[in-house]
Amino acid sequence: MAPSRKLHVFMVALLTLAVLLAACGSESGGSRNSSTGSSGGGKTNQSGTTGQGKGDDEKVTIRMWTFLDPNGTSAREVALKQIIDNFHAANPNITVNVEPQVWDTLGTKFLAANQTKSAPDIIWITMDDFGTALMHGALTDFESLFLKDWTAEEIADVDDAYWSFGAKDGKHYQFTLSRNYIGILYREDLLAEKGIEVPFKTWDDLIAAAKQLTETDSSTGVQRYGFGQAFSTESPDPQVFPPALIYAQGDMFTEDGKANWSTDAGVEALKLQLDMVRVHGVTPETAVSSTVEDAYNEFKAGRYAMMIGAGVRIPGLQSDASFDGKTVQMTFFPSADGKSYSPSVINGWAVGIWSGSQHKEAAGKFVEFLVNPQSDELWLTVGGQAPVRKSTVEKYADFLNQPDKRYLQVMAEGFAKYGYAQPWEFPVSGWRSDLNKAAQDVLIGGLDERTALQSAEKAFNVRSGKK
Amino acid sequence: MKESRLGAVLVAPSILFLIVILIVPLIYTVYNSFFDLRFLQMGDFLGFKNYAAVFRNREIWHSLGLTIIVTFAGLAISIVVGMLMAVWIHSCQGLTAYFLQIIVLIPWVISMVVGALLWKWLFNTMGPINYLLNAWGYGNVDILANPRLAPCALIFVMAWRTVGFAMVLILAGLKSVPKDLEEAAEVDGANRWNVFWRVRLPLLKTPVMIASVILLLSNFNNVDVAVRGTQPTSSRWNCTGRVLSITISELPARFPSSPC
Amino acid sequence: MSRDGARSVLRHFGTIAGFAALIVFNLAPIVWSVRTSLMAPSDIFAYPPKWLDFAITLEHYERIVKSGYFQTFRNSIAYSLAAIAIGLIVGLLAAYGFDRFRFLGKKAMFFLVVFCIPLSMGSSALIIPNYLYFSKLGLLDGWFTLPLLYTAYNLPMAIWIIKSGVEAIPVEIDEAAKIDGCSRFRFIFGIVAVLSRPVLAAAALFIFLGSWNEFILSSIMINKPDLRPVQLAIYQYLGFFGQEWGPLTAAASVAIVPSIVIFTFLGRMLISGLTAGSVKS
Repeated sequence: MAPSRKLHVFMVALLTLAVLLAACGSESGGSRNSSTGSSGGGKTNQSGTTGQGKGDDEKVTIRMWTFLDPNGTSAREVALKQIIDNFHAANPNITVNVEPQVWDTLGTKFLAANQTKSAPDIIWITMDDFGTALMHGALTDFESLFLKDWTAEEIADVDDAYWSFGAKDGKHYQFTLSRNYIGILYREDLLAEKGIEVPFKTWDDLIAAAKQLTETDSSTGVQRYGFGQAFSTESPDPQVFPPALIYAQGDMFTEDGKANWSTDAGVEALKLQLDMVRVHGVTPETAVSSTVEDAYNEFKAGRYAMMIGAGVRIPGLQSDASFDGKTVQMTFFPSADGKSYSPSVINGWAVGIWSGSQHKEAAGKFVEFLVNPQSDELWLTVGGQAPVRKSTVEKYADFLNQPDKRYLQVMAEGFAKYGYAQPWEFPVSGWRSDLNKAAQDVLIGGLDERTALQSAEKAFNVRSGKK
Repeated sequence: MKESRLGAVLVAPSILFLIVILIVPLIYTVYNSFFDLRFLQMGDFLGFKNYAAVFRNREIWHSLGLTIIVTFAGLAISIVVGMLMAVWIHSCQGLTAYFLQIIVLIPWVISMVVGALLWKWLFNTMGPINYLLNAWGYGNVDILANPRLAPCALIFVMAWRTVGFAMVLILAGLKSVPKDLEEAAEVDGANRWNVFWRVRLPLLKTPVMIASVILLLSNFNNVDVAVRGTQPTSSRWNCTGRVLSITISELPARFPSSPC
Repeated sequence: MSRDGARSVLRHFGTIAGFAALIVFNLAPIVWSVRTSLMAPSDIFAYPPKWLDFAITLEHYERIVKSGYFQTFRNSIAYSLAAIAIGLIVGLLAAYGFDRFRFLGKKAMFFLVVFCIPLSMGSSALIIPNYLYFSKLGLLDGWFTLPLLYTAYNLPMAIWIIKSGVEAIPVEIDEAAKIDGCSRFRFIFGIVAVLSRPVLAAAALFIFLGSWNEFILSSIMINKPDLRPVQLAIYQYLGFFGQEWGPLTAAASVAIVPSIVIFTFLGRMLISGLTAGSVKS
């Protein structure tokens, strides 16, 4: 029976090995609800102190769900780790456990976990999903925790379009981090060559400039386009339509949450966007299926002189570009009449506290810490993020004047003066896809602009449950 | 075959696994589909209203149609190519055969997400394929934009991944065709072609059917390739993808347990 | 004569062309992946694409190691081994039970198994119910969560494969062993297992692939960063702030290695394992 014995032993060994590996793997990561971290590893979720502390103070562990991994190597993640380390040093009784999630599951998982009473203490949630979470009662207001102790000055320091986002009945439920501004990214060397000045006052100025920039690059033979856009319905960014429409009519939605796109202003805005492809030729036809990723990749490869892009992506563009990254800059959207700039959609991740958390005070302390002046500086200098506080912007004026950091100033100004925060009182997710679909319907499907916009409105309204 | 309760005992652990982890959630889902499930909370009993709403949604039909086309096309290609591969490998000896098997199986071994991403890059307007086209004098073809070419790309990637699986099943079937049957046919004067058509093929019916069914279901449910791979509106094409995108990204909407 | 000559030349040409096409199609994405993982970020997006003339850099590999890639790699290995072990043991018992016995409800239960094969392939639609349900059972986010799930999802296919192998073992052997005084369990894990080695290998291969490449369940069912499997680590680079192709391809390239290694060594058994059911000894 020798061969069978061997097999037997082999199977048992296999099983034991597997079990050991798995169990060991999870142990070194620390246990879940114990108040001190366990041994091993120099990971972020271990505080340096175990067993010391102030006498009998209760040790608390709080969980945070975000898409950032403190052990990661990108700038944002490094900044987060430093902030967490600082927090642990200042608060030896509180341990912050970060559980990184796949970013597009954060909203769903949070709501599901809220149902099963197992949600984390702190959650990062997109502005799209924030409204749902709030309406669902899944978030706690900050006033009851730490905000009541803030002075008027401190509040003024953070008061902007983001601050009022999600403010319900005068109470605040989130701070917005990883702030993003959609604007026009451009290569300043190419524009300087042609003597083009930014910012553009009117759309016509923009188009004229883009025409000049659409040419074949003499050194590489690559066909370059003046203005890159992306109309795919996958993970879309707002394109020309929203700023143009908002400038004309003030809002994209009606008071009761319906889409308001097929107005005259809307038709004009869509024409403006699509004429760049059809008439002026400054945007290639491939825009119809380009995702923003494709557009960024093409920009990096030198195929666009300008494009619609997000501020948070600029560091990546700067490091990955096949040309000198420091020439990547950002500017505002022009307007129809040239009197101001068109408001652009602002975005970010709302950081909130779960209403079912057992450690709200501790969670509140950490959330407050995330936006204190010291952390804000770290977000800016280490993480390359646009600052939350006006005081940080002032203090770091020199830092922000460096050529590769100037876009942060543009973003900050955009947040303050030319920003549009999407509504949270009613569900709005999917609006960008709907608008891109309208663009596709016109360019590929041959519909006229009004019909396409009406169909997009319908899709949006049905999805949001508005008839 | 013995009549004995021992059989039930032996089978019990597996059945337990399957019921607890697969069947119960299924029942739960179907149960929920009859209710109004806003924000994942139980609401009123709706009867078939959810289903009605889903069926009325024209886009679901559109995506269902496309899913069916893509599924069957991918399946057909996999089986045919798989069969060709199997026959070829069957006629090779030893190391060559082995080597070929490995190569054919490689795509199957890569995870869906990775495979789809890689191909997406290759098909990209900036990618190598377009570059080659350019080099040979053709203009840029934006494969993923063209509403007629994009489904082809999707089909291609799916077929690429599943050819290995089909090949393996069919090859196993080929090897189990009793040699004496083939010899008898040859003795009777059948040429190569006839041997294949008349002797082997009928006996391959089973593996082909099995492969077809499995690939059919797998392709139909395949979300990753569609979502991570092609554009535009790729997740609309795939039924399950639509369900997934509804449940994950469009939270405020109802939670339809789609009949897809 | 010349007809045969021409035919054979044509055949040779066809074979070589076939070889070439096969290699290009099947290996191209992998080759490209490895190549990209060794390029500096600015080279990756260069257009025209740089085929071979770039400076090799290991920065992406360094980066993924620093980000804890090997922890996830180890996790995946552990999960896959566990799923294989449990799957084979439980599956072998079930296959034997289905083949050699009649009992009440057997047909229904076997139907259940077969029914679960397509079910396990359509896992995405069941994710949220699974999440809520597992949460209630307290099975979420543990070191046992993924092994259990992977086992269950791959069990139907495994049982089906193993059963075809068990069928091929003549019942006379059972009788002979019984006469020799061999206990039933010893028999199953001894003789049957050894005789069905190829089939077990085939099943193991399927389970391994199903576990190693699984992504959706893993992303939803666990939260603790130390429990993440390797596919999640790859996916991390498809981040919110864009795809980072360098570390992404590095992670993907390394993740492919075990699959390819296992297939190269055990692949032989795959074919014979699937053939086993039909071969008459």
